[in-house]
Order: sequence, then C-alpha cells, then structure tokens
Amino acid sequence: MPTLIGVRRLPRILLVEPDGLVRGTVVSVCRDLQLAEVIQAGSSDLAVKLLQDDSLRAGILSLSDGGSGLDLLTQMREGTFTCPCDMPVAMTAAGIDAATAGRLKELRIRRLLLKPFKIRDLVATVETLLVAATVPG
Amino acid sequence: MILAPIPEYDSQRLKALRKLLILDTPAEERFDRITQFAMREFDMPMALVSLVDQDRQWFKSNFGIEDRETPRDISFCGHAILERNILLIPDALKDERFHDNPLVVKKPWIRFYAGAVLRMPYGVALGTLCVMDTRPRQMDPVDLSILGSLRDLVVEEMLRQEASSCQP
Repeated sequence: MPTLIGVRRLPRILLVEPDGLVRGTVVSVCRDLQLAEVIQAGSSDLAVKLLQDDSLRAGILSLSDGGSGLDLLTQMREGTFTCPCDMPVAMTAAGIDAATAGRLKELRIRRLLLKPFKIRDLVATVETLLVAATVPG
Repeated sequence: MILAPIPEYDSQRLKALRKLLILDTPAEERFDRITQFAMREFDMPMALVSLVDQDRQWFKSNFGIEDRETPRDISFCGHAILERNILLIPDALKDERFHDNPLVVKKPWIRFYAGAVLRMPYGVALGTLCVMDTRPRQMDPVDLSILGSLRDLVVEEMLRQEASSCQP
C-alpha cells in the first residue's frame, strides 16, 4: 500500500533587496540548503503586498531603497499588515546615522547588515531570524 | 599531471557550444557582473566564465587572469566538465592531476580551484564558472551552494544567448 510521505514545508521569509543578483542568489541558496522559502521584492513599495501573508516567519528589509524600509518596518510593528507584527526582522543599509539606528532599536530589529555584505552573511542572518522566530519573546 | 580527458559526447558538446555563437565575442557586463560578484563573495583573486572548446578553454569573462584562453589539455575546467556539479581542488600541489601543471607551477600559480559546471538543460557541459586562489583553500556547503547558484545565473545568461543566436 502506498504511503504518503510528508514534504517538509520550509519557513517563509521576506527579503527586500534592490540588487537582483543578491536576491536571486539568496533565494536559491536558502532553497538549496533547505533553510527557508524566501519571497523577494526589489523595493519596500513592492514588499507591501508580500507582507499581507500570515505565514511569514521573518523579514530582511532594506534602508537602501530610499529609506522607505524604516516606514515599512514601522507600519509592520503597528499591525498594518497581515504578517505577524512582532516577527523577527533584520535591516540592511549602505550607511546609517545615530538617529536612524536608535529608531531601528526601538523597532526591535535583530540585526543590522551594512553594505558591502556577503551572501553568506545574509544566509547566516536568515538562520538567526528563524531561530528567533521559534523562541518566544 | 593528467591531461584533461575528452568526454565521450565531446562532438555533441562542441556542436552545442558553437551554436551559441559566443566564442571569441567581447566581454559582456552580464557575465562580468557575476564573475566579479563571485570574486568578492569568496575573496578570490581569480574568477572566470570558461568555455571548453576543442583545443582550448576560452574565457567569456576573466578577472585576475590576463589571457583570454589556455590550451584545453592543461585546463582545470577541462577536468571539471566531467563532473556532475562542482570540481573542488583544495590544493593543486597535492592532487596528482594538477601538481606539475604549468598553471600551477608557473603563472598564474593556481593552488585552489572550484569550478561549477555550466550544464545546459539538455545535458551537455560547456564550461565552468570558476574561482581560484594562489593558496590552498576550502569551501563549506554554504560556499558551494552560493557558487552553484551563481553558476545557475551564468547558465540563464547562456540560455538567453542561445535563444538570441537561434533567431533568424
């Protein structure tokens, strides 16, 4: 009698990153290593629709697309979207001032990645966020 | 040294390579971007998109190596195209295939080599995306996955090339 073999569903994570080469590589590596299903957007504006997803477990947002990443995170924490408002989030940036860093801390980001970073830094960040997503608080 | 073996299907492989109309064309940003990205990601001094022609390997994209081609029989990529996925040589001086290879004992002094096979969807391996160093190195599963993913992007570009070369 045939048996049904369950296919492990990978946790879903959002990546906002303007560089298509970086996005595509992270998506592919996370799938290859069976870490996560990465859904991707090239800008915070395009990410708005993707945040209407209650199965999201974490997010990596970007301050490098005109600064709207901060607005996006603020709205997310306020519960504007369907995704969990308290999900772990990391932020990438080309550079950052003290005021923005303070604001990001208030918004409870788990990690700040300054450019230039490597793909393996992003992959390690995905792992960190997913561990955080399973730990309450 | 062991000369790069010739695969049984080499005539079919060469036919597919020639059909791409890519050999001896100028460097292109769409390939160079990926090669440079690989160099930065792995902190390597050399990276190539290498295509294995009948008697030579020819570089569509080359960083850290000035020549645009080398003989096929001494090429690392000539060995790599017989692999299923990635050929990893942590230390060429300790590998019987390469220990006295001219590319190892002379300029460019290759010690480490990782070449991800550029395999077309219909099965033929045309070359590699490869990174090299002048010192022994290792790659972990994350590195290998990243190299494989970048290789997939090169193959995508080659498929675009194939589509455009087939247009009347």
